[in-house]
Amino acid sequence: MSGPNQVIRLMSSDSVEIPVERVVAERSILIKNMLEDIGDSALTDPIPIPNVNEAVLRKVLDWCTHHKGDPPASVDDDSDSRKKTTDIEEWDQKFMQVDQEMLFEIILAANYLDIKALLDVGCKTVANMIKGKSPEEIRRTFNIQNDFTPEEEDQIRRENEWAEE
Amino acid sequence: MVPVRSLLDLPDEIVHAILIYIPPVDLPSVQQVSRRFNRLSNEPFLWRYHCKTQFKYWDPSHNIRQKFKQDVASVDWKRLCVHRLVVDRSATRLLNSILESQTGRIVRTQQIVDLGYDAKDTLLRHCHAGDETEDVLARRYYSGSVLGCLHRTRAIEQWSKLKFGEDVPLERALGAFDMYLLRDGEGDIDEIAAVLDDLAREFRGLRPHFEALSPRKKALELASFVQENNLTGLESESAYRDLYNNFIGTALQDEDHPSIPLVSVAIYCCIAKRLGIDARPCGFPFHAIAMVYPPEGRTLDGMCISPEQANSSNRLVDSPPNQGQGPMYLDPFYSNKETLTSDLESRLAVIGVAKDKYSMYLNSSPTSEIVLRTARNIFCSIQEFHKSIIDTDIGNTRPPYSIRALADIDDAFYAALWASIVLGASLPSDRSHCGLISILGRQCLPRIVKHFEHQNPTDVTLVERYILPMFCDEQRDEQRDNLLEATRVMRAGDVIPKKVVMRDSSTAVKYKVGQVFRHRRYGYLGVITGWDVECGMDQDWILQNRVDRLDRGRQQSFYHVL
Repeated sequence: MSGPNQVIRLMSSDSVEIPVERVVAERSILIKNMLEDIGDSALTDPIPIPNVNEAVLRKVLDWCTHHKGDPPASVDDDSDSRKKTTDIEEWDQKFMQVDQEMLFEIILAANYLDIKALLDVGCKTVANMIKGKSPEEIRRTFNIQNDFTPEEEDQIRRENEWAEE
Repeated sequence: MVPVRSLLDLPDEIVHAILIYIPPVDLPSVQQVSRRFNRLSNEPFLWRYHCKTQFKYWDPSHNIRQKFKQDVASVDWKRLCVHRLVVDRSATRLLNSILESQTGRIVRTQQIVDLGYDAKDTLLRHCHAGDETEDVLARRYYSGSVLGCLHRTRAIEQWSKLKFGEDVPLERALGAFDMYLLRDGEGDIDEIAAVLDDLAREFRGLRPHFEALSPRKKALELASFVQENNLTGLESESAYRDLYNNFIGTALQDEDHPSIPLVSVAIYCCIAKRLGIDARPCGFPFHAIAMVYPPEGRTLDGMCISPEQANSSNRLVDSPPNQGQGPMYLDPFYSNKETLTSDLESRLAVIGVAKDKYSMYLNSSPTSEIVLRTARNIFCSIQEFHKSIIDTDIGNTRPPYSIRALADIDDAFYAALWASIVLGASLPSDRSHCGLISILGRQCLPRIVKHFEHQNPTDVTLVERYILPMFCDEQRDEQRDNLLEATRVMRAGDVIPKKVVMRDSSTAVKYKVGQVFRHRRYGYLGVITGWDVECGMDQDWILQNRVDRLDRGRQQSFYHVL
């Protein structure tokens, strides 16, 4: 069966086969281009997704299933001049309520699979975790080491005096 | 696969995509997290993006349009963005203190205006404060009032530059009038210039062979373009004196682009200038027309002129028409055809201009003269409007004037007064003993003073900066003394706290604030918002309202009502 409702199979990095509707999988530009390249005849074998493990791939496909009816993203000709909001729709917010490791895995997978809207949601989620925090709070949230020398730290603090209320 | 444990394991491009969503005020915190974050949050791309998306209006000193075209690395975007954030914070703080205290409002308004046009974004934001804001009405009102002062400051700057011989593009000199009516809308002088830029670009796109044409053909092509796009002229003659037709910005923004001939000519000339055509408004009386000059050393038909010929062509009008050495005339208000010099000369003859004066009216008109002419046109429009009110009052069918339209008339009048006083020419003979103020300026002054005392007290700074220096210091001058006194009173009133007058039984104020009433004689319904123990209005008002003819004259309580 060809067409949008056709079921194709993806193969995760840990060699698990996941069947998925073609229209859902095509939210990924990478998969979409691949399907166009290999043509319908070659679809007997599962498509390998070597960079994404089963858990993450299932999570990503959940997102794709929910968003399969979304209009295709408008061509961002001048994305640089438009202001981006950090508003995230409710379903996506719930979807992103995962531990940090999964969050970053989703972001990396979205980047690899070329799913721009999912990548944006992921980046916004991380941005919202950074906003309004002190440097120390950010370090604690993301487990980052402070690798500045005291002199460097002092200099950067001086540079940013304007931001102090 | 290596498990991802931390934000640090994401590649730079993704961290960059995350940082885009961090508002610039939060970036200093990110910078202090670690070396890598310090590097990533200092990317010029990031700060340029914020400059472009967070702010819309920029002070001309930044030359921002040019900067955005430049190579990213050649501009210190971070510094620029930080500057804007600091301006935003200062302006907000000053606005808050204007809202908190009745004293010092003039001084604080001036401090915001001194932050430059950068403060406009901040003021606009407060103008659009949401209904949930605690002090929403006061906030909108005062941010609007400061914004008005900022706009007028920018407008008068243009005219003042013109006065002192600086080159001010025509659209800016005329767009200055729009600034008085702008409020929180679009269409300031920068936006007017941008619309004209776009039109010139559109024209070039439509006429790919344009550059190969002779200057005359170029001028005619452009005349056709403005006609085709209905950029000039008016739909019906009846609306000729409509106030808005005098404003180049309004004309360009309105779908039908209505404008009187002078503004049509200005629009034509401004687009022409962008296309390399030397078009200027002509000083022809009553109906403004445009003229196009040939480029140096050439005729309008593209021929080279030998030096001897060039000398003779300087006689412009005396040279036989249409030989291509002199300028050509166009009337973009009515048509896309060339207007013959002989037609214009016969029109001059009809209105009785002596032949030796023709050249005076057939030469180009300096920009300052075009501004003054616009001011006169605005005065005419307003006169016409008042006449129409009187006419309709008699017929009892008053057209529905919106409050906005009435306020615009007031502001347009104020704009025309300022243009006249700043640019009104003083006769050389006057300069020695009266300073630079012209007769026209002297006529306008009392009205300006009245307007700024009642409606725009914050303009006292503009009066001090631009009008007072026009007077000569040494001479005794009653008008100057009065003006000095008016500004002094205004300043003093700003710093002295308003006295709270307690209601006491000895005063004969019978009704309280908040009392709703119906006026016994005039029958209207109102509410009392304040009172004076005796008439507190000025002499003009007292005379106008014949207060002294009342039973107890001015020595009785007066109420402020809505």
